[in-house]
Amino acid sequence: MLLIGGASCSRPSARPGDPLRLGYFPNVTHAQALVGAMDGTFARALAPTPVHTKVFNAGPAAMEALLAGELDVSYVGTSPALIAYVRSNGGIRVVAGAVSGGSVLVAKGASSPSMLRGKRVAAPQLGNSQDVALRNWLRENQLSFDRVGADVKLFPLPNADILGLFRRGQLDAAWVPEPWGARLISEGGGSILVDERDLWDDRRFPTTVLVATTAALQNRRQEIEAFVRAHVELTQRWIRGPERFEERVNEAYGSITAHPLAPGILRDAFSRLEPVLAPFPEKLAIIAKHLEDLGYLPESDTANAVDSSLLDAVGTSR
Amino acid sequence: MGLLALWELVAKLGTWPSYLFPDPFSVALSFGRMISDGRLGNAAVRSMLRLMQGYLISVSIGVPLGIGIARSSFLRMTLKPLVMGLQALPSICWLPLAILWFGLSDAAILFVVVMGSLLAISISTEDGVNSIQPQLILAAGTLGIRGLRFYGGVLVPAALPGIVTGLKLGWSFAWRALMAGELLFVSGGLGQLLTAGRELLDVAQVVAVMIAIIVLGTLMDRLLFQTVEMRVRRRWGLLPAS
Repeated sequence: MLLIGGASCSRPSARPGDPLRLGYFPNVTHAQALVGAMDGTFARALAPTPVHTKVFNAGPAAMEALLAGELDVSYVGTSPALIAYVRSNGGIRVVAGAVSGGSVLVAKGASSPSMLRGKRVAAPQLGNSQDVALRNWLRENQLSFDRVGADVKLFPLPNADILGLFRRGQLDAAWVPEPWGARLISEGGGSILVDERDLWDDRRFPTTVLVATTAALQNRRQEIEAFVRAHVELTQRWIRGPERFEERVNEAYGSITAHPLAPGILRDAFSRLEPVLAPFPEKLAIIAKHLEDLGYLPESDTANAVDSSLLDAVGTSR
Repeated sequence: MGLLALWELVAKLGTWPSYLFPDPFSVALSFGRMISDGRLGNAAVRSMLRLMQGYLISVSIGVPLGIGIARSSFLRMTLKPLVMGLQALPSICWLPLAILWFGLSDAAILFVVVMGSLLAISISTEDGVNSIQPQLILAAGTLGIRGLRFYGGVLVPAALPGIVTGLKLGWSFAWRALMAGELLFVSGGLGQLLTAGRELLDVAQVVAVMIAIIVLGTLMDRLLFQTVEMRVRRRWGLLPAS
């Protein structure tokens, strides 16, 4: 019985020709994934290998699937990517950047950090990028959050629940990725307390990156390279024609969630993010330090988390 | 000991990577860490408190409800179908409604715990009352024992084996409902500690908390029930005298 369990647990890493399994989230911070999955860019680039997609609410769930051998590549936030890299002892690599920005703390009735005292604040999932940003920011503003009777009460909740509870007044603030920030403002009556871009040098930081399992990089490198090429093509399309690209993102978003974004919300959400290809290893290192300070990771060396060889092979650098 | 050795062996064999199948040492380390920084203690206390609260509510409603259904044909006609029907619903199914009704509060989890154990307690109590020898009830009537003296001095003691079975069942359901609730709805306690381990991809923590849950559950069962149940059974002559 153990052997059967073992055989199914340690899935043999997929071979070339097996479907390529892609993970991403229904957020506009995964713009390239939304468009690429919908308009067949990924499918064409990988043909004849089929591309299977799985949609997740947030990073930790996607990384769990990646480590369990259910995914080969995934768009994901930086914190879960780093956690997965360390926990799997290098079982995944960051192969490209995707999006910078698009992460905000929206609050109702609080215009300064101290006004959050005694309030309830949410983030999409324990250990995801916004959760890490939130806890780090609370720490830097001397607000406690991790014990009974702390200044702030934290709630990891799925994005859709955050919106619902925020609207009903059961939450006072939330650190969320776009488009949820724009929706909290427009539908929830909140306002931006912190735009994460303001916390970083030159207002750029990796929000979404593209990761691949080391097994996939070893066993099906050509297919991963084809995928990265498609990712680069999508990113360049976005840079050249932002408005058209945003509309395509909304089409894809609407087809997954059954509720496309209103034009005003779409524009607001995109106003705070931008496409990038560079993985920003120095900034990843800063995030890794935050993870260690929060106790989410033991002290670890993430210097080799980034593998830019595929980006270089595809022939672009930014 | 043998189990531990086998565990260590399987882990070392490398069939599964360490982030999928933790070895005993990592689990022990995680366990130790959580005890020393107080997380395990706090989580256990929170879970236990919720369990006590929910369970006490269930008992205080469930036992009278069971007695009432057994003794009153009106209640039997109106409430019994409801009780039997709802009992078929795993209490965790109440969680979405509970969150909508009670919001992000302990009340939501308590509701799930109560719905899990209340019905089992009530049904077992009713069975216990129904299996009292009718002569006992008649005799009490003849002797003129009524009201509280009847219920407290005759009915409940006579139905005690059935009631205790119900209490034990209800406890079991309450414990499971609590863990399910804490896993799905982040709110402190052992369930959340387990989920946190999962979300941070710390399998050792997940297994360590699972072990803590097993230990706690077994301890409670042994302390609370095995002793009480043994005593009752012995007194009621359901056990050979020791």
